[in-house]
Amino acid sequence: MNHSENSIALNSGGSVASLDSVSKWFGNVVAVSDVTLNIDRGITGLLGPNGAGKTTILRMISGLYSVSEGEVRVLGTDPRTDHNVYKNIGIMTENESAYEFMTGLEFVRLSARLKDLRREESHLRNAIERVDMSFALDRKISTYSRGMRQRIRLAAALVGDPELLILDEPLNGADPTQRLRFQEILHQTADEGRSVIISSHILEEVEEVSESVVLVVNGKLAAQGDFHAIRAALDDRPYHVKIECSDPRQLGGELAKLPAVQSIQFDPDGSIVALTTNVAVLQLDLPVIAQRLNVRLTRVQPIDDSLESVFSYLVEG
Amino acid sequence: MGTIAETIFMLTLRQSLSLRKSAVLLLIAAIPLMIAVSTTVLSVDWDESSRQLFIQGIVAYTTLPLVALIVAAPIFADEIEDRTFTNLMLSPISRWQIAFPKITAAVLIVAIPMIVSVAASILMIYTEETYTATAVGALGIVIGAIAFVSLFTFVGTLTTRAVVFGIVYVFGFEAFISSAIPGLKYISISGMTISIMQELSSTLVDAPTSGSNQLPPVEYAAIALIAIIILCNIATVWRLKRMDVH
Repeated sequence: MNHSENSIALNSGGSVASLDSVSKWFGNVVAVSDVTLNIDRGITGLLGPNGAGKTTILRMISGLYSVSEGEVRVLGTDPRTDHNVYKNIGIMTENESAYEFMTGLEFVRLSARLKDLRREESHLRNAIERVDMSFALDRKISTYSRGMRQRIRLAAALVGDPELLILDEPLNGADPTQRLRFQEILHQTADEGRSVIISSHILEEVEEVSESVVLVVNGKLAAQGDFHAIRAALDDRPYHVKIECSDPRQLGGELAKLPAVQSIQFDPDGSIVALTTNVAVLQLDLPVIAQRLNVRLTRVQPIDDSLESVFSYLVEG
Repeated sequence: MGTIAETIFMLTLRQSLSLRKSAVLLLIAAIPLMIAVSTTVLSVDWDESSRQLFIQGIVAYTTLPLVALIVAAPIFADEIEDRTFTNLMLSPISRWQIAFPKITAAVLIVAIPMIVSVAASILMIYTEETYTATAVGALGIVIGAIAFVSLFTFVGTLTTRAVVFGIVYVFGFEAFISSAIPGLKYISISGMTISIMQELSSTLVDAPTSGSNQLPPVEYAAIALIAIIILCNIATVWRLKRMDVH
């Protein structure tokens, strides 16, 4: 299949990648279990805690892993058998898989040549300028910092302006400035009509760039759709909040009267554990009540705010 | 060769010829030459049996497979281990187009220093028919290099410890067991290569075939070597098609 044929498949189908009842296991370990999903054009965030199966899914989409069961289609074809599809895909894996003995320029040039790109030099310049790596092009990759390696690997993925960009945890090791630049590049790529699949275990990272998200937990699809709808579902879930203060009995009694608080427990260590369905209201009311009762707050902490517990909540409904 | 194949070929040369790897490669490839130089300096007389011991024992059973091992085993194994292999597997070419330039590069890296070392040695230890002996030696090295590289490349796609397997194979089987147990030269790449070299040598100088009668007949050796080369390369491509690249 050539470039134009891929474009037709992409445009007519509306989906850049699809998994149909896909499972993947390594020996006795099930990494991905019966996942069916369609990834549409635009930027899609693949979200889940560490070990959830994000990388396995991305590697199956990339054709780097075979599927144990089911079928994967990317740009209308199976990447394990139709290698021509790689002309239209730029992939940045999670590992720092760059040739240490090469300079940054040589590495990006290798990527261009492996894609059989014509007008190679203009593609190189374009990709390298986009990641702001022109200043270190002639340095060996072995001398790069982790952030620089990520940028040069992004340049290698961007070379040739592929229709689909697959990025596995691309922001690992990036500083705040680089994160902003990454986000700009991703938005720019989407504005140009290309698609991006980006994985992360950090909710806020994906929130900045993705219009739609796919949530994966324990190798299973937990949710898929518009990010804001899913985020709202996360905000509405019950939270346990641990409160340490100078008079737990008095403060706990008052908190129990709030409509947003479902229950109050007193821990043996003297702290209060409040179960609330509206953590935002509790955040506003708590200091006011404490001040009114002349109770000193020493610590307020959501105790089930980890990504794993958020995803577990979604899985359990 | 197309552009992508050429790129993979050059990349393999660069990976295999780092300073450290080149030094080890040249040192081992130079063993026959060092022996020839030492015996010349010490004015040792070479008779036919000692020449055969040199070509068979030093070159065919030990040095050639060892050089092939240190070059071929890592050409996939190292990239798989340091995870740079994804760069090649994500290129828009079939898997045999990845394997072929890598194997070609490995054969050249093995054959060139070995031919130089053995040719120089032959010129020192042979007093007559030196050009014939050199030509036969060079051809034997090329045949052996293709067979050993094919075998060790395939093993390198199966395990990242291919070098360990190869050392046991070279010193255990090729250099010792296949010579000690009658009949095992029929499954020894070195034995088959020597059989072809002896036949070529006797044809070129119009002399009867000499050496061990344990060697397989030349027809068998030729067919078996071609089969080994084809099967190992098919197995390598099959492995590349099926492997999960981490």
